This record gives sequence, structure tokens and C-alpha cells, in this order.
Amino acid sequence: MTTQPSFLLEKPKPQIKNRLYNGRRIIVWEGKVKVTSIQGWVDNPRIELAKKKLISRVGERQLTQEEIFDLMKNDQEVKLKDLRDDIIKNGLREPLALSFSGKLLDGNRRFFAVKYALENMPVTDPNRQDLESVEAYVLSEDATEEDEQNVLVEENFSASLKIEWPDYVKALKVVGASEDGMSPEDISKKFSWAKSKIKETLKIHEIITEFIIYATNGQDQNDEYGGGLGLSEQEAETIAAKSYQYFNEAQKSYFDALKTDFDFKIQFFKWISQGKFSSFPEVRVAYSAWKHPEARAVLLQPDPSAAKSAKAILDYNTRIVRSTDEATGRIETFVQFLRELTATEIKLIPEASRNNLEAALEMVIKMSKAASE
Amino acid sequence: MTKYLNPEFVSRSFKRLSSRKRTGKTHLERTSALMYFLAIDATCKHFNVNSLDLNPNSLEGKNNRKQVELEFTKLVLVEKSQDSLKQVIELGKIDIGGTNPEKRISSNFFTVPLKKASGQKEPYYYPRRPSAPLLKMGPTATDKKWGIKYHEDWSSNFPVLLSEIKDPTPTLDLAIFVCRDCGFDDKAIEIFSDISEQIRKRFTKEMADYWISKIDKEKIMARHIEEPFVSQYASFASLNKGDLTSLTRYEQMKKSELIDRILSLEKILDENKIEY
Repeated sequence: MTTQPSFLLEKPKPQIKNRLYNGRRIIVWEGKVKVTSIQGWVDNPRIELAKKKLISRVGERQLTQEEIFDLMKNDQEVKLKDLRDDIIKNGLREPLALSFSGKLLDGNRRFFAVKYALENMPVTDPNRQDLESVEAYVLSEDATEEDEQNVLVEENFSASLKIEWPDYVKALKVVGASEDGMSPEDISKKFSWAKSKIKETLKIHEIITEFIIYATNGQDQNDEYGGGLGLSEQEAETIAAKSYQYFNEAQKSYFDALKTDFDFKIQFFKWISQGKFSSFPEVRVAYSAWKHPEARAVLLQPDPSAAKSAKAILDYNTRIVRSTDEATGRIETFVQFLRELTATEIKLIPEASRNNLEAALEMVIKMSKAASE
Repeated sequence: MTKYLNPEFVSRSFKRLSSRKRTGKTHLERTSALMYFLAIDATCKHFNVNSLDLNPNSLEGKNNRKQVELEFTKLVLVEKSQDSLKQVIELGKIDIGGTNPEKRISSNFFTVPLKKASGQKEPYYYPRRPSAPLLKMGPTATDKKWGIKYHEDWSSNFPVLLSEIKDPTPTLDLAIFVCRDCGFDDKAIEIFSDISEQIRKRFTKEMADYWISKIDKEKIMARHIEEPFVSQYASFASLNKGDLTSLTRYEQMKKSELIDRILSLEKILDENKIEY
């Protein structure tokens, strides 16, 4: 017979249940707990970046419950106010999950939203007592660390109506498991993600790690690239977290190029930090644009719509190969452009570009003659 | 007084050359191709030539082969004592025992791709996997039956062979590994220029210029450089116990290599009078 957790209220009488978490049956106690006897999860990865920012201000120490509560309230992505309002209207829809020792395993956001609701609720409010004690599942004393992990995974990695952990935070968990020596197969089982997704996550993180190294380097005029961006670790991580899906797009579209073309990699990092891209297709074509002189020149402009314009050039070039009419039209426009050039304007064109044009025209003459024969 | 690379620094850099993949033979194949290429280049530097004739039946060819074997051994052999041999078969890991390096290059490179190239009409490009050749061989490509030359695209293909390495400074880490036994001038303080100088001493001008330009680019990502020099030489191999190859490696060994390995292990057991 398993022991009843001490913090569970006697009324209603706690019940033993068998619940399924991440494919594993776990024995839990179902009952009510006083909110004041619950400790919020200080190590919650969801607010990792906000915590790092605070620690950089207050120094390295364990944050208090109140500090975590403030962070949760002020982090826009946590949307605590929305949840608080929903709980005031509808009550707590889903029980919290706690370990036998009282550690909050799931429902951290709900727990703080309840605290938030109570904070502003008059003592005389008849709904107050409904929130002062909440329903919870408590793991039995026999639960292992693996069981706790399964609860965490089920509640935070599985897609549901709840706000999942940010992608970057989830990726850190996967990377942590990999660095602990777990194989992609084992990580896949642990987090219920496909093996291919685990491998992709590790590759995305590889790019992000390099981005952070670059971005946190000081500026240096003697360096070929002008040094790094001189950002703090937190600033770089915040950009990385916000651009996570752009890094994912880069991983899918040109991971090898990022590993073999160093100049492109540094430029891509600069683009990410400058907020150059406004859509996934723009990220997707960045390497093709880099290899295309015209699109590259456009993409390197500080214009906010540069990525869009570069993509348009690439799209146009892709189409023109397929359409003879467009090729004819483009040649005519270019010929007209050449004819309108004055000697002074030609003189202003850099020598390398003039040589390039001469070589191209000579090649066209030869090919055209051969085609006419 | 001469300075040396700090074995802990070499060890750190060497580990950074590991593959992001934990299984498969790709990194091993790429390491072999890379080491053969560097050995060929160092030999070209030694004889001040830009191509080699490796004809096994001519004096010049035999001399060239000996020198390539020597350069290859300098690259991959990390420690040798009377009864043990530590070498690199895959970057980032140290192997104990196995076929000695001279024999390795002879049986894996001279007698397979080079021999095949000598008898074929079309140019033979190496390596074939990945499709990023660094060398070309055979009579059509080199005008000599046993000739070997640089492939026209070697410089753009070189990074492809390092692309499975997870850490962002592969050419710098490779240079540190390659220069692990070098003696540095007493005044050496700045690792980048000192390593570059060693690379220039050992490899052809084209290779050294290329390699150093890559190292210069990677400087911005190098965060692992701490106390690079020490006054007394020590091998880094003894620090890398954790990276000695696992049993799964034996599954990938050729039968002859496996026999050699078993015999050397049996010899150690016999010498120490351990029953097995």
C-alpha cells in the first residue's frame, strides 16, 4: 500500500489512480492541495532566457518564488494574464501534477495563474475558496526519476491546446540528452519525437551554437569580418530563440553550405541579427542568392525589403530559363540599357565588371555564330 | 629554448575533430582521404615538385613512396613504444594497435586506388566518396602510369571532407593536430602565426596559403585556445583515454587488421602472464 502524500487535503478523500504518461502507466494520488503549500518550478525551462537576464542583473543565485512569479507575469510569451482571466471565469480545467515530495512537474503556468488570480481577488469573493485549493495528481512514493521525466515530456513536448515550451527551449533539452551520451534512438524514445526530428534538432543547435559564438565576439576592425557583433550571451540567445525556425529553414535548405562556405556562414549570421528575413522562402533562397552575383548584390543592401527583392530576382531567373519569350524580352531590355550607356558612364564602371561584360559578350558572339551555322 | 604545444590544448583540439555522427564509416573514409592527401602534399614540398610518380618499379617511384609513407606516418602515428602503437584512423579518436601506418597506406592507397588508376584509360579521381576529389591519378590524368597530381578543384573540395565535423574551427584544429610534435621558437606567443609558420615549413606553398587563409577566417570562432604552449614536450595521446575506440570499431575492421589486433593483444597478455 502506497503512502498518502502529506500535503494532500483529507477532503475530498484522495484516490489512487493509474494514469498513462508518454506510454507508461504510473500510479498517482488524485486529490486537492492548498495552493500555498505548492512551490512553483524554479528551474522551468520555459522562462530560461528571462531567468538568465535576471541573473545577469542580480548575480548568480537561486531565484526566489516571488522573482519567478514576477518573471512569469512579465514574460509576454507566457501569456499568464490570459490564463488568469480564463481561470477566474472557468476555474482550473485540468489538475496539476506533482512529485511525491511536492515538486511541481506539470502545471507551472496554471499554478502561477491561480496565484495571480488570488493576488487581486478580494478575500470576500465567493469564488476565492475554489482557487485556494486546487486539484492535483501526485506521483506515488515509488515513482522513479524516469516516471517524473515521463510526466514532464507528456505535458510539455506533446502538442496540445496548452502553450508548449518554445522551440529553442525544447531543443536545449534534446541537446542536453545528446551531450549526456544518449543516442538519437534513446532521445527519440525519451521525448516521443521521431528520430529524424532529433537529428534535425541537433543540427539546428549546431548552427545556433556557432551563431552565438560569432555574435558574442567583440568587434575587431583587424579581423576579416570586422569581428563579431559584440552582443552579450543573453542577447545572442534571445535572437537565436526568436529566429529558431529560420535556423531550422537554413538547416533544411543549406546545412552543408554553412559547414563548408565560411564567408556565407558569417554573412548569414549577420543577416539573422539584422532581421533581414521576413519569411521562410526568403531564408530558403539565401544561399542561392549568395551564389548569384545580381541577387547577392541586392541582398547585401541595407534596404529592409532586400531579401524580398533578391528572391524576386532568383524567381525571375528561374522562370526565364523556361520561357523563350521572357529571355527575348530580357535581352532586349539589357541591349537597350547598354546602348543608352555613355562613354563617361562606362568609364565609371569598375574594371572587373567591364572585363566580365567583355568576356560574356565574346562568349555570346561565339555561341551565337555557332548556333547560326 | 624550444617550446611545444600544450598536450591538453592539442587534446582539446583533436576531440573537436570528431564527427557529429556516432556510427557509420563516413568520417573514417574522409580521414583517410585527407591524410593521404596531406602526405602527398608534404612529399611534394619535400621534393619541391607539384606531382609525383609512384611507380613501384623505378628508383624515383620507390623513393617517392617511401617519403609518402613517412609523411603519412608522421601525420597519423601519435605514440609508439616497444609494445604498443597508438594511431589515428578516424579524426577525434585514437586507436591502439592495428596495422602500422606504413603498411596501412601501402595496402589501402597504393595497392587499391593508385593501382587501379594505373591500369585505366580514364582519369581516376580520389576520393570518390564523397564526390569531392582532391587528387587525380593514372596515365590520362598525369601523363604517367603511376602518376598523381592535384585535382583542379581540390581547394573547393577540401572543406567537404571536413563537413562532418561538428565544431566550427576544423582547419585550425587539424593544423594543431598536425603540428602536435613540432618545436616552436622560444618567442612563440601567438598561436595563429606560429602554427601558420609550421604549416608553411611542412606543406607546399599552395596548400599552406590555402590552409592559413582558412585558419584566419576561423579565428573568430576559436574559443578553446588557452595556454597553447609548454616548455616540455609530452604526447597528447595519453590524455585521450576516453576517446580510444570502442568495441564497435572491430566490426568495421578488415579480417587482416582484426587478426593483427588480436595477436598484439595476445602478446600483451602473454608478456604479462595473464591467462585468457
